[in-house]
Amino acid sequence: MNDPNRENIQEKATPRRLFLQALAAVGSGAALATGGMELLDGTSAQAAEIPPPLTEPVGNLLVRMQRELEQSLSTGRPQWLMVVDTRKCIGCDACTIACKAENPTGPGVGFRRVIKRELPVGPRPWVIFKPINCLQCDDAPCAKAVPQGMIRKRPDGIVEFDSDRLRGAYAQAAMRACPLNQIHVDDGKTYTYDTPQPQEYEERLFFENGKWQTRKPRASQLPDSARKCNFCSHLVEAGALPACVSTCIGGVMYFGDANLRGSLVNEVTQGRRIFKHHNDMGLKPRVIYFEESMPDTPHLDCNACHY
Amino acid sequence: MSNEADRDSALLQPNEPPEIQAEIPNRREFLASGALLGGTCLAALAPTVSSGQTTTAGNFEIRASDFIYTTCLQCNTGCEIKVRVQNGVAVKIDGNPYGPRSMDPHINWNTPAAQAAKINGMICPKGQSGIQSNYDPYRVVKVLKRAGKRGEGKWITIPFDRAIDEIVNGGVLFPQDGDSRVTGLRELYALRDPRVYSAMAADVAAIQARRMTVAEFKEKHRENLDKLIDPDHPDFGPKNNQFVFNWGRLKGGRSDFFLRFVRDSFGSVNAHGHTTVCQGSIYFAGKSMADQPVGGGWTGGAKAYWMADTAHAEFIIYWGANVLEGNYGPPLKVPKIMRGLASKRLKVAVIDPRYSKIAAKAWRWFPIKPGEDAAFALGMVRWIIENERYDHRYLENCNRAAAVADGEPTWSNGAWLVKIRPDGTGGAFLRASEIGLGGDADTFVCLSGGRPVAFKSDDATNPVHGDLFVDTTVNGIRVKSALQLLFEESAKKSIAEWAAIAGLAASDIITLAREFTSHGKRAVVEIHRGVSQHTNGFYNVLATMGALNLLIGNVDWKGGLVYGGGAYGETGGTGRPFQLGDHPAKITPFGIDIIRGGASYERSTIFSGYPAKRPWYPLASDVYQEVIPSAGDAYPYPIKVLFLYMGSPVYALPAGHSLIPTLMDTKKIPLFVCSDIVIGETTQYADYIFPDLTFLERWEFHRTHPSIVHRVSPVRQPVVASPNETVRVFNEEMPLSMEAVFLAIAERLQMPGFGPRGFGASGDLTRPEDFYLRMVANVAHGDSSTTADVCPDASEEEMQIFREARKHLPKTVFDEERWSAVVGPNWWKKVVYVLNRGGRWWSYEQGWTGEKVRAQFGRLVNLYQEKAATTRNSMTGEFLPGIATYLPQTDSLGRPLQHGDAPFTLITNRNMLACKTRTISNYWLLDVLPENFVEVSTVDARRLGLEDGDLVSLTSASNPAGRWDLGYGNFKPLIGRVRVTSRIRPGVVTFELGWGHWAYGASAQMIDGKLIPPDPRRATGIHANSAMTVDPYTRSPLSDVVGGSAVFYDTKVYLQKVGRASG
Repeated sequence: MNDPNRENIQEKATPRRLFLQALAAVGSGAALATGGMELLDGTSAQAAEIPPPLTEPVGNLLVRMQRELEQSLSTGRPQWLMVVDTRKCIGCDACTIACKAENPTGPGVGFRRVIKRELPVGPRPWVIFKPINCLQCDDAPCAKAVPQGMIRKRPDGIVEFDSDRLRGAYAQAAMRACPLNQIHVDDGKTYTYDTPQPQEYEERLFFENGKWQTRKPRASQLPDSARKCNFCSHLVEAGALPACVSTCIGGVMYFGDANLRGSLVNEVTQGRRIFKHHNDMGLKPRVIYFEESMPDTPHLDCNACHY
Repeated sequence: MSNEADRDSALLQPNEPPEIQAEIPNRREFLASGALLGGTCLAALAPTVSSGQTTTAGNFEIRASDFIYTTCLQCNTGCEIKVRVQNGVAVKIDGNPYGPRSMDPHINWNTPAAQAAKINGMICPKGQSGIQSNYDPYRVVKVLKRAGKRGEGKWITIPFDRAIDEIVNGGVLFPQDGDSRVTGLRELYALRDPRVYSAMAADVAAIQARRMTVAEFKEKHRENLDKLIDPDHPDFGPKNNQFVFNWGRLKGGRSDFFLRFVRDSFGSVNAHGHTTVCQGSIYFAGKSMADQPVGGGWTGGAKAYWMADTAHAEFIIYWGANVLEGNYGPPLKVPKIMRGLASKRLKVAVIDPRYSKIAAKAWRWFPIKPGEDAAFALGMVRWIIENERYDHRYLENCNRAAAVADGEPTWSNGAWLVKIRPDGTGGAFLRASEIGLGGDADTFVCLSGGRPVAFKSDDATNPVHGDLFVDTTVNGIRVKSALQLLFEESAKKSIAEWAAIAGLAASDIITLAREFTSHGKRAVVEIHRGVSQHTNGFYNVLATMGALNLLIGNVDWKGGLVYGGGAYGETGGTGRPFQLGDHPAKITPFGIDIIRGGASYERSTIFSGYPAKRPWYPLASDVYQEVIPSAGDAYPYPIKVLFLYMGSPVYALPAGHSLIPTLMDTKKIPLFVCSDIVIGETTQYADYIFPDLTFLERWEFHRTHPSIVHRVSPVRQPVVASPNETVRVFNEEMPLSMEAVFLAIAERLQMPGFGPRGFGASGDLTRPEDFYLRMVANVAHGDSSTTADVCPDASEEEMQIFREARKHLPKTVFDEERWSAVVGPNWWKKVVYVLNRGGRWWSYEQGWTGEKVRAQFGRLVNLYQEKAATTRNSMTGEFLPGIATYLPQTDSLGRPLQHGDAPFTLITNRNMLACKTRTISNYWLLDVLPENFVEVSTVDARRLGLEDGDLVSLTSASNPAGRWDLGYGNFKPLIGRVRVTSRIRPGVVTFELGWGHWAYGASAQMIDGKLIPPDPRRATGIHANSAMTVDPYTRSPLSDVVGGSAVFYDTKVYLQKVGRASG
């Protein structure tokens, strides 16, 4: 409950000032009862600048991405890229849970979370859902905050921790350096050790940062270590897509090799306006977002996180 | 805020578990006590040979043998899943890439298993968390028998065989209740001869048809009268009917197995599901719409309904349907919706008092007043008809031949002539014979160019087209066309008046009606609970799913309204290798069932004028909210034994608290036996709890639902070993399960249909696999009655993958020799082929043929319901309407509901993170949403001075104390935390179903004298069902007496701030 990221895992209540103003403008609370309010299509100055949506890719994209992944592993020098289309996100948290199952974490901790925000932009509620995880920055603030070698930029672009060394004060420093709060220090807590019967799935082995780990109390090396998303590198190297990507029922994420000609990530970003987190900080993230909106969804801007 | 309020809020923290006073031992002491909950057998479970990663050497690898493909049951969507097993432990659930529900589009079914291993499909957060439903620290693994009074929370563990002996033989089983003797199953297994059943059933039918008197019956059957519940009321049937089997979530395979026991073998008519708590009035309106005319009556309609072909629709109205979170199908539908929206193929409108997640993606949101759906729909009907925006060509087709000529798979009875009663209401259809045009009882009449024409509905050679709007007299008989009746219903009010009732604007109706009629056949009204769970649910459904879709004639069209592709013939049929219905002495039970489903009050021997003591449901069945209250009223007769399987009516039903006194009363329910994986909100009142297998440990055939256009037979199969104790039945060892219970009872009673030669000459039925593997072989056989569709044998590689993936399973669960012997060598490798994919289904492309879906309804769809129109309401004595109509919300006697001056309509909503009763054990999900909220609109919150996080209590006219009364002085207050939002219509409040538990690990239980401490994480939030209206006449949950729906959304409540959140 005290995890600094926790507040964003929770659905936040929206500041209601603008909404109330909007409501006042159309009369009273009963105004809602006139119902069926059309979205403010094109009434936002920002929306007008967004180019019309490009074609939605067709076919079985999960299969295509998995094939491309194997191709990149065997033939190329992959540069992994995650492209997020928040328009299709429904805030279901399938990715959040898939991440927890694939990369065991304790209560209140997750390497992926989904921001859900009610935006006060018009007489009708407007809600945005936005998945967020470690951006695998090329210019990673966390790496600069700790001694060299503890945080490594892999050739494929993934930012990897040396979890044996990135502990204690170093882990805390890395955590504080991340502008997106995407680094967690494992507190060793489990879900079932305070219940009538601890459960074996919490003790299982998993492969993280290049080695086998467990969160089994007392046997685990992880408590006090920094941890975060690494694009499920164990799955990727074994030929499967990251857990969040494949489980996503909205098809929100595209994952693949920016170096691979004709790859899906290249195809879908072609000609798109791209949103990057903290662009002003020059993070050079490997997780990028579509900026555009669908006719009936808000387009992505900083309000999604910083309203 | 006053200090007193502060103190109250501290006392009433919703986080607190219910007030069960007990001392909690420390954990060490508890564990040392070796209680019986899940996982205590873990050591015994440790596999001697492990599959999956067994070593910390090397890198992570993905091998085909790491996975077992099965079917989710975290909700009733039943998605195909792929479970990764590591050292015998299920560690990760992914979507099955072969599965139509979990991949879009799904990969070719013939893809070798080795190739599929690295491809993962999609699955929702609940599906991902199935691991935690399985590995639940509060699982029951041995038989529990109550040691105190019902619901007192005191248990002892007893051996399985002793428990079976006790429920079979009865006796003084509970000395703490005094010396009252419990009737056992042996005594209720009174009538056993199938021939006597048939003879008595025929004569009961004769009594109902007034062709035989009760006295004549008694004389004729005098030798068997002692086997009846009441010889003066032969229509109650035999004593066997006093054994009642009631279930919550039961799917194919298991349902076939269990009903083989209850109906075919034990001979009880009382096997009742839970349909009406979900969406009964949709099912039974759908059944009525699907009925076909036979012999002057209507029959053949399945308990089913229609949904959208999501993959191709251009416009879908999601009406009371929270499609992105529930409604049969996030993993199935969300990809199709989101890709449709992103590509602009699809546009959606949402009608819902609450701004659901689909509203966040919608073109328009119409925040309708709860329960006024028919008003809005009839406004649309009026506009569509007056502006001639309906499909004239479709509606004029009166029979198959006319439809076929137009390339229409279906037709309606919109142009058929209905006889009008003196009071102006519609009655029966006019038969041709009544006006001298000949024909039989199924020959109907339309006007064609003003002249009466006779026709038969299914006639494929003589096309008949009818005039659409007819109001005339034929041979002195006053008639109107069904469409005319619909139009007149819609014209009872102006569009503005309809809109006012619905709390919306006339322009809303017009805008939506125009858009809906602007996409040809590729527009759909898709509905769900929001429409049906009202006292007027049946007619809301007819107005929305029925009338609106039929006006545009979209049935069976690509992008239109679809009925689903169904499942393969799992239980047998022509050409299939195994007939699961084979039975050496199959009984067809008879008698009125205790919920009076499908039964006529007027024809019964207990007709005594109106109102009946409790409602009769001639058009519905599986009326969940009637089972326990009817036992409580002993109406129509008392019951002796109630078995409850995977259900929690106390928690799930609206006003479920009204069931508790009956459950606690050992006179009304003398023996209450439950199957559960934990001690739940309802099973805590049991006399015995038999632990069951979880969905990851058992067999089941989940089948399908309307929105899957493909033929699908997903298989649920054992993935991991069960912690349940191993029992021996028919000399076979197996983990304790519901099947084991039925097999053991059958063994004691020497009941035909189970045991050696249980299938007669076709073989033995001594363990679950004898049943389920035969079903898998039938799936392997495929669609065709010939061998054309038989699936291939598993290759040697796939056989190895299959064995390797099951190395962690003990022989009591997986025994290749035993399994292959069940189906024989010709089928074994085909069975493996199916199991390696988690089931069988059509390829993606096979779902459609040209502009239609491949699996078509292909018959008459009723716009007018003759059966309803000629059936009387058992409470008022009036005929039911035959056409979509607007009805206000009423109690069972048809009186307006009394809410006092309560200002807020209470509704509920599904959050994808919870499945009502059974996901509170999923800590991962609780991590995302630790507790639910009472959602209050911004406008109302401002008026009441409520802020986010404030605590409010909910009270209502029928629950002024605002609490659950759990018995023995234990209460759970209806207090929840407020979330203020603009995403709900002012005047409406909602809460997410699934939180606010007081059992299922949320309360302390005493087992064998040891206290099992509760987990406070499971008690958070609010479950406000007990604020919902108790019907003043039946003293049980409010009900739609036509369609059977349990009513969730017609209660008004008071909100009172009781404290501020402590943060």
